Amino acid sequence: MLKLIIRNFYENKKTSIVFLLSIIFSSMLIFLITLLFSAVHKYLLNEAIKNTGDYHVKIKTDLKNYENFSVIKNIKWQDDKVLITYDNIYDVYKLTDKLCKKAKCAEIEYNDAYLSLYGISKNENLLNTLKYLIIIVLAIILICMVFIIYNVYKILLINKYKQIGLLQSIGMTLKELRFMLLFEAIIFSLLGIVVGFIISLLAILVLITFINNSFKIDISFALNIKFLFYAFVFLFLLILIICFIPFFKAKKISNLKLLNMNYTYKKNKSFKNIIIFLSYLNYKRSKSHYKSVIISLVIFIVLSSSFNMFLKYGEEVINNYVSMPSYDAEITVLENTDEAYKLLDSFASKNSSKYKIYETCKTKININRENYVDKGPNNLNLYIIEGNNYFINEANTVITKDNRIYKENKSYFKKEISLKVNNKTLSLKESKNIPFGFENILTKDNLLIGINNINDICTPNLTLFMKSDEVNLEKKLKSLLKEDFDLYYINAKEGKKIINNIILSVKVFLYSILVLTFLIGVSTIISSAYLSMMYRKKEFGLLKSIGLTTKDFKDMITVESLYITGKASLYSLLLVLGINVITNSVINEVIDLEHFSLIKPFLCTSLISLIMIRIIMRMCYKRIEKTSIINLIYNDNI
Amino acid sequence: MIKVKKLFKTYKQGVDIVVAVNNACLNIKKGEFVAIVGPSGSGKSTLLHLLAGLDKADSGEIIINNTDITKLNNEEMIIFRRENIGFIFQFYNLLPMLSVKENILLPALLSGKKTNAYEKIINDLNIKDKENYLPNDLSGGQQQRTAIGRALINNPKIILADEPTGNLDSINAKNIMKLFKHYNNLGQTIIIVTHDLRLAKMATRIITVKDGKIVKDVKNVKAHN
Repeated sequence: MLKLIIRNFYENKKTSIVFLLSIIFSSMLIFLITLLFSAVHKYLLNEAIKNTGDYHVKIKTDLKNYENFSVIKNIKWQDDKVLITYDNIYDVYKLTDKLCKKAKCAEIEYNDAYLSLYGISKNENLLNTLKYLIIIVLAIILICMVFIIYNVYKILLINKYKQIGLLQSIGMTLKELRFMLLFEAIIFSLLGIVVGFIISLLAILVLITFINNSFKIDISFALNIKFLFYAFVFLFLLILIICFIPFFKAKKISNLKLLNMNYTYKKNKSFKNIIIFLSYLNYKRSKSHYKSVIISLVIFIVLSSSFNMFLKYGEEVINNYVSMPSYDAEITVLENTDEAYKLLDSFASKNSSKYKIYETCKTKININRENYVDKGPNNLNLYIIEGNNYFINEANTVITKDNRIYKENKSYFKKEISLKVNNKTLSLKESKNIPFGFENILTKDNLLIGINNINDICTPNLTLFMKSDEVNLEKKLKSLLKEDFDLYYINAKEGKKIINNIILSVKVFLYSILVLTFLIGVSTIISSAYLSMMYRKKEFGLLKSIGLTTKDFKDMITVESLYITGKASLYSLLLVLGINVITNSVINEVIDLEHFSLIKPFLCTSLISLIMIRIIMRMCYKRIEKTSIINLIYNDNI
Repeated sequence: MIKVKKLFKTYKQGVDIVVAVNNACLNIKKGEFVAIVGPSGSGKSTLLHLLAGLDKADSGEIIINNTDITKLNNEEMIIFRRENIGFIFQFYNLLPMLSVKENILLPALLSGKKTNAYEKIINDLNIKDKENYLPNDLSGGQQQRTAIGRALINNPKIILADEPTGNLDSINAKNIMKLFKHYNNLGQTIIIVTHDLRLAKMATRIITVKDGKIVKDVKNVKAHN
């Protein structure tokens, strides 16, 4: 039996390899996503435990003898509140309700940051929405993976039927046949899934190292056995079902019919032009290889367009919500003397391309509501610099409100405001000229003002913002100022580097996914188109034998590729529109972003598909052309 | 009409090289009805394929109506075959997505020629009632007649048939041979390959092939008469 299976594999090497590759690809992607999800989940859990602890609920209670409550795993006292950890995190709400019936409870505070990571936070928060987004992406990928594997196998189906018919006709029983198919399925799935898993392990290690280096975080490899088991079982069952499809279908068909199995054809309308007529007929075959090619194209167009959209969303988030300081270094000297000023000025003029020194103070104030056009915070951080009685009437920031992320860019205040600072009343007019270095502090909770006699209000420090390409600035500065001055040095360049890395990493990650989906799509198209062309060798031989010239063939291929791509584009358009609507509404729940249309990427990928199909078909035809007509007609095997 | 000079063709079979046609020389006149016979694997089908230009010889010449087809490239051969040769395969090899009518008319459509011959051919073949059927719905005899119709539609000077009755019962086989006889009487040159000597005796000339060589070439006087 094993010899027969191995022999069969070698006889149909090309198709077997293509089928195996499709299993490896699918396994690799599913395992990669599972492993990445596990690693990120573990990291987020650790961060949540670090920040808030791993308790489930915090209650102010007179709970005594908690040992009697068997569902409680752990209990800690924090001042007058108790931090409870249950045995089963998923029953946290139910158990807390139960508990509070027996003991007096007040100020119940659930550890949402921790609970949401198990998907059980009552609040509609970011993570929940992210979860839905991941589910959409996973669903798209899973459906595509199923199609990729089945797609390739469909092309082998006719041969499989003939093989089953032949084996039965020479005496193989159904039981033996079932065993043979099971064996085949096990070999393909074990090989494919194991190789796919190994590749995904290598890929995840590389990915984690890259993310850790770029983000300066510490994600570690995590093997969630449960997820992996589900993924393995899912893939194994899928392959098993696919390999058994011909067996179940063949049971109902007689041996002879199986042996003579061919595609069934329907009567179709005629066209005047013979080439269009032949192309149309080829395309309209009911069980043709073209369905597989069309499905491959649909997967390619849908995946590429969707991930193009995710890429654009990612880029917009980066452009709008990640802000870079305009300077490289911020130096604050806790002294406002001429000497300090001169030293800073001399230092900056020698070492920077752009700089500004300010006399600055920072304090907190209560602000009168009458200053606001509508409403605003009562307390503000006040930044004061030397200037001409003005304030910057602009808040340009990212805020989270009701679990949605907003980019704010609005004027809160009236054109003229009145502030009381250190018992002095200041009348200020609005200004739109943001002083160099202060761009990033302009948020809803901060207010920047300039007054022409800062010493009347506070004892200012000297703050220098400078742009510089010099290295070791801090060292140079400290050696210049020596021990005479107290100073604070903020290396904004380092922060910029990290932000740049984050931006680069996100872009690289998104582009990598796009490239990966592109490659998967292209390889699926190539394999199905190639196989379908190779299985038409006999047809091409026949047509050549009765007079179809090379030019006619090229025209036929062009028309066929138009039919195929047209149909694929039509199906893809419906799917792409659906994904566009769902994704836009999911993202809209969380973040305030401009909506993206998928029409442009859809049209581009459709055009690329058309060109690709035409090239593949022409290349396959060129290969076939080299073979003599008789070999084409009489040698069916590819 | 057909001159074959020192024709040679070999195939690779695993590590061995098989000489399928070995130094064949032949002269076939216009209007002849030739049967090529020989045991299985003797090279008779290979010879026929070479005459039809469906395969390329290793060396030698095949001159059909003053054209050496061995010197033609693929495109030229396709066009030449379209206009001069009608080939009938043993396993019919009809295009499964075309109906009987479409299969028969296809060579005419491909050559761009208008033809009035369809009605006569389909009536002669006695498959008029099946003209809208697909090949999968036809019997072996009906499929073979369709294949014959396809070979005849362009009124070729030569008809080549490779085991045309190989998959048919004796009655259908005899009927097919009668058809060939009929078209031969109308002036068509016909060359068939067959392993059935009884059917071969309906031809006017019998060529015997063995191990790639022509070992016998006799006129069948009875058939003539």
